[in-house]
Amino acid sequence: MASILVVDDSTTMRQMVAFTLTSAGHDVTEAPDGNQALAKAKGKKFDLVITDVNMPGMNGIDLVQSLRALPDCKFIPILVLTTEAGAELKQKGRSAGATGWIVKPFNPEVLLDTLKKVLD
Amino acid sequence: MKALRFKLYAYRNRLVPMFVLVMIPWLAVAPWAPWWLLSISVPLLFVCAWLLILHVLPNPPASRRASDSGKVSDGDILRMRQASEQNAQLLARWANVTRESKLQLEEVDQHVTEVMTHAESAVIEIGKRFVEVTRKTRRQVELAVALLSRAEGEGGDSPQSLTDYIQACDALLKSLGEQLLATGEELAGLAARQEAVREDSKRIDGALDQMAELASQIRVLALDSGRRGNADNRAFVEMTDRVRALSLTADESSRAIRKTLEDIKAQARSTDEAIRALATQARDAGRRSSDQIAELTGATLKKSEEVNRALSDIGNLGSQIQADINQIIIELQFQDITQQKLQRLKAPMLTELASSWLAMFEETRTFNRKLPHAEGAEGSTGRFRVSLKTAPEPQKPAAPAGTAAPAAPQDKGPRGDDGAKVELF
Repeated sequence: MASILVVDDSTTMRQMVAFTLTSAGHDVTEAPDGNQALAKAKGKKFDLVITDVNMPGMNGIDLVQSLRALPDCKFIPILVLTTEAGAELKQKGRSAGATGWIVKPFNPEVLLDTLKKVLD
Repeated sequence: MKALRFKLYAYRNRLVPMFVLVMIPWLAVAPWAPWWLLSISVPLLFVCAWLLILHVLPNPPASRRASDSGKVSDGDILRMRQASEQNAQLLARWANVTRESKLQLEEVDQHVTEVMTHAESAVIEIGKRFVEVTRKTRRQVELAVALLSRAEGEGGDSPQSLTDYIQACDALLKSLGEQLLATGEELAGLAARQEAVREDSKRIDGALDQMAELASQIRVLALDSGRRGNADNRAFVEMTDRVRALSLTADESSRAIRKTLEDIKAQARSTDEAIRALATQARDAGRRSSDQIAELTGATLKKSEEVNRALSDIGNLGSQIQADINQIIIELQFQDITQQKLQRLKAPMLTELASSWLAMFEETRTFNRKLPHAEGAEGSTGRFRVSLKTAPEPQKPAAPAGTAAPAAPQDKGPRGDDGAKVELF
């Protein structure tokens, strides 16, 4: 069981991800934007972070960069879960320190398989 | 050519005097001019007349047309017709803005239609999946219940469910227990008979002891009679009496022994019969139990296979339910994505549209103020009045002509290509 931080401005999407992860036995913490996610990451150590890109306040790419600057989040896997599929944005995410890129809508089984890979 | 014809028509009454006036200088110099100058000046004369009429002469005042309003004066009509070029430019800009607005509205309409289509299909798909989940869950419950209950329409004494098989096994074991109890009681009876035989044996031992004593006494008497044979007859008679008495006693003992032996024989026969009967009974009971157990085991194995199949079906249905739930999650994501797309599209597109219309409104109002008849009271005649009272204040300058509408979010469209869905760096 892993402790996972899910960041998405859409409540529906956040709950879908949380439902999928909690069904698999993971402990999920939710955040609606990058700023709150950063605050939660400073207060608790997570095993993995899943974040959207287009969010109010701090977007996903900036969040990844900010998380990588935290000592506790320097080496944890960070997955980007977004509707964006452009190569340029993917490259930005990769440069920011993202571990993987998943395009919405996600298949729960694929998401769990990906989680297993990056957590192992 | 239309303007030339219009002016010729408008100045038709003044054409002759104008021609005369133009011809006077020419006529004045014509007698002294050489022929080649005259041949050049004649066509130049017509060119000058054409330029004069077309570009120098003012536009003739238009007369009132049948379609003109009676409330508008001739002067207003003239000014309005003079402003036709500005009107044309304004209308051209209106047309441009309207065309752009139409394109933007069509784009919005297309996106809204797309979102509605996706939302509708997602709702339908979710509904179908829920129905499937419900149906499969009910099937699972039916299969689970069938394992424990008798199938309808399959009445009779044969067990159908696992519970029936368990109850049949229990009944069989109870029957076996009762039969074992009966066998135990029978064996207790046999033990009592064996005890009686043991008692008879003791009695035989006693009789045999008596007979041995009698034989000893007879041997003593024989020795004594030999020793005293010649003493007297009286003693011989006594001895004879005693021998007779001993003989009687021996006879009684032998009868008692015979009787005891007869009893022993009878009990032995009875015990043997009882043992045989018990053995037969135990053998029959064992055979029956063995048959029943074999039958029950076969049926239980068969039922176990059914249970395995049912459990396998339940497991498959569980997997299918999980797949349906996954599909529902995907459809809900489609809903959410399209909703977000619409929200991102709505604000900039409508703001842009409102700004364009406001710019046109301002331009029209300014133009209307420039009209002499307006006299500072905008829209007093209502000719160019534009009502936009409910429009919000412009938040940014009007977009220049030809500015494209804000691009729709470059999201991967719902149900788009699923290629490269997951990429690990």
